[in-house]
Amino acid sequence: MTDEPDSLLESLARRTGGLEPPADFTARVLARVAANREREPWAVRGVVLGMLAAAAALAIWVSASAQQEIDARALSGLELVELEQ
Amino acid sequence: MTEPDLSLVARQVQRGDRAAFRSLVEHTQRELFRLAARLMGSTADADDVLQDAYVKVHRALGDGQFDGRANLRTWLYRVVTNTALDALRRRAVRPAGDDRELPALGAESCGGAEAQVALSELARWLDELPVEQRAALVLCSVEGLTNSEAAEVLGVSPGAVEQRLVRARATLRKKRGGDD
Repeated sequence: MTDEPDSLLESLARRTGGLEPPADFTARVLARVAANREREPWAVRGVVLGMLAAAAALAIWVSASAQQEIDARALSGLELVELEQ
Repeated sequence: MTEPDLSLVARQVQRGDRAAFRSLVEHTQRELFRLAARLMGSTADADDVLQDAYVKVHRALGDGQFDGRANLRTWLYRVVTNTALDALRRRAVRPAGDDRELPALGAESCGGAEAQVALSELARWLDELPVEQRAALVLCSVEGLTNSEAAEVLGVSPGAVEQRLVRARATLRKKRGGDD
């Protein structure tokens, strides 16, 4: 009883043993691999450009924040001078 | 045609040798096409799955993901099986009415009418099985791998493979009983 499904599958394995890919299969695989190879450098460039843009935005934000802090300190210094006078 | 040492061919592909990749495809495509067809139940789907798998193989070899410690045949089986399982899962969740017509491949170009009939019969038997059980059954009972080899391909323990086989055989036995 336990071998029953297996004997059916063994028979189907034998009968499907002649399956093979179409004659142009290798050519189509190589064409796809070549197309992917051409696309990949552009994808990498896209990622690098995205990272550069993010780094530039971060630098601008850090610079602006630092400037705001300097301005705030300068203003509080002026207020102290005014109070002392 | 003599069979080249495929591990050596894989190392040549890793070094960017395009002719070596062609050789790898030419010497492995028949066996892997049969595997993909038996997993998918159709030669048109097998064609798509195997193309995707070879693109992954090329990329993985280029990236050094195959370190040569695993058996190359087992590794290729794993890439093809995983690609087929992903396609079967996508097919299972595809909404009704989205049954895109796949390009029909001529029976004579894929092994003859008898093989196509047998493949349809196999697909009918395996259709109701969950994809993991289907893969275990195809690898062990159709491809003739041992439980340990199938476990390595599927990335699970041999015990898990055995469990899937028991469940799959029980479902098939019930289906066979119902059909008689």
